[in-house]
Amino acid sequence: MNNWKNFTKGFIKENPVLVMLLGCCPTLGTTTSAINGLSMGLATTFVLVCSNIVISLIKNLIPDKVRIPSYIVVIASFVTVIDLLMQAYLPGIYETLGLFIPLIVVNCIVLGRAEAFASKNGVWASCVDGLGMGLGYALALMILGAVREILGSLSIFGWQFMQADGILVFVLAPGAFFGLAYFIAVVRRFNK
Amino acid sequence: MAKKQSSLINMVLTLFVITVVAAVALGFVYYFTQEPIAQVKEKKLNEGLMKVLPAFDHQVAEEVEGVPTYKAFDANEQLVGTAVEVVTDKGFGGDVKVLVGFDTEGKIFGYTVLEHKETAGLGSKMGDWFQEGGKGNVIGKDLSTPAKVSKDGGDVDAITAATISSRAFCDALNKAYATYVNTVGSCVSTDTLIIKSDLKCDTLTNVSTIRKTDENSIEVTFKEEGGQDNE
Amino acid sequence: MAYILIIISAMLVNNIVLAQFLGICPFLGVSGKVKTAVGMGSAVLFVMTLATIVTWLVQTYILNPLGIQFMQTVAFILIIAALVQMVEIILKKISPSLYQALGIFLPLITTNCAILGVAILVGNGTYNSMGLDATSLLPAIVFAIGTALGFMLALVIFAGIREHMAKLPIPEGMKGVPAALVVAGILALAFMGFSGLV
Repeated sequence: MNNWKNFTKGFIKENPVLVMLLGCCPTLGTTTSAINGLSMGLATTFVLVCSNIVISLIKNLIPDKVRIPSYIVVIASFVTVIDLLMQAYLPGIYETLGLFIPLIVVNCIVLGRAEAFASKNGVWASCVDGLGMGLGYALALMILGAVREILGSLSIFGWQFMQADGILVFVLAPGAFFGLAYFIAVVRRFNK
Repeated sequence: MAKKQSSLINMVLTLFVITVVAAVALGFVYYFTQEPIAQVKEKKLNEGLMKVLPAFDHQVAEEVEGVPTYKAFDANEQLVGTAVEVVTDKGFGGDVKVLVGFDTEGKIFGYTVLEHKETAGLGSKMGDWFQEGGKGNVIGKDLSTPAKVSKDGGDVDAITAATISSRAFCDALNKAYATYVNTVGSCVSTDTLIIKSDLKCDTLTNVSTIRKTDENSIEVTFKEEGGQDNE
Repeated sequence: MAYILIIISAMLVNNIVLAQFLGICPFLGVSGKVKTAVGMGSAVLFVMTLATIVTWLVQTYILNPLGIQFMQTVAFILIIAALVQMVEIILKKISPSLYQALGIFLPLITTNCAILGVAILVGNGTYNSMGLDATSLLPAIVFAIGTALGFMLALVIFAGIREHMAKLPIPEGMKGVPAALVVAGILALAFMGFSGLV
């Protein structure tokens, strides 16, 4: 598979959240605004790329039976790294994302790509795969966040374009479910 | 390279090595981020204090009955205000944590909501609603009569459609004031002193010196009258 | 009394699926039938309580005294993975009938973020403990049980609705997951009515 195809498949065709329905929890939980969704997506991308690289490097050193626990340790380590880095340098965003940062470790996308791609492919391909998938995920989260922010609080990327109350339900829990439902339906329509 | 065999020794060894490497690597990252993280926390506290207190030079942190309080002094060691960090569990979505600043007369100088889980767009407005210029302005309020929303017979205008959140906010203010009153016995300002006597609070002005005579009493000298007051 | 409040708060007000968005994957994945929903719910109740006790012990007696709280994520996920494996093996030996009922759900639980989420909340003492000491064990266990009951409740209601939805005419593009998400949204709307209860 050539690298370009490998990179772009994560955006629409095999988008982790919109098509493969992986990593739904942070998708619903952190997309109250565009910037929150984007930050969550980028944090996940970091973990995805790093763990893909490391796992494709050490894949031959790991006996098959302890494959999954080993991958989990690698992933959990990178999650802790991004957790500490965000605490130190992006404290505001860290607070809003809260619990969802350590929970990247159980995001099915990360373990899924490790198992399905990085454990069978070379370093470079795994890196590109992680980047593509991660950015596809980040893009989906950002768009969903933007839609909810526009409808719910009448602002975009924190910029208030109208001084009024938005449709509140969109920034609350039910709005997350409704937003994602229609987003998936729209992407399905275009993927046909 | 050939794939390793799944023998017991191999498995245990691999897992062990990976975990040790991960632990050491994380130790390093932790070591390097420890200081920035501590700085961020301190900066956040200072920014909060700056918002709720008059301009100050340095602050002294103290716990009064388990509640964190911060006394702010100017360059001449004069007390300019006291901030109290309170948590109330009366919020709509859970705990609400507020930092309330009092000036030396015990009036609210400022507040900032540190943490809350109130409904976005309704209760979450409490960060602005009660500020100066907001609809439910509480700045400058004297809390010797407890804050209450107008629905409960008080004079604080509740946030539209978020009475419970507003009540929680008033509860936080009252709790902060109770703690503040507890701190004043030991705080010293040369102008004004608030003395707590059983249930009532009195404000004394024109104080010239205050001297702590022993554990439980202080001696107060007034500027003009020259009278003395012992408590 | 405070323990009852913790259960109500964890189960209804801050429902882990509908308000906190944890454990969505099994929620969407296995909730086609009420019977499987009950099975999954029981498995989660069992593992979540056990995992909370073990991770609490590790946090209090290993991570905190050694000052290595930053190893929390790594330690907890390994504990949960090992625990699930152990439960599976023990259950197979001791009670084959129970294994048959819960067995198929157990492997799914390792990557159920609700378990790790609750473990982290308890480890950091940042859950809503209703005035009780959040760092002691008993409120933590009660919180875990309440959360798991909330998970089960949401799952069972959701499965009940989806059983009936099979007969409805749904537009092509909305079939399956999108329609399920809309139902979940309406459920979340209903659960919002519980807020302010405690």
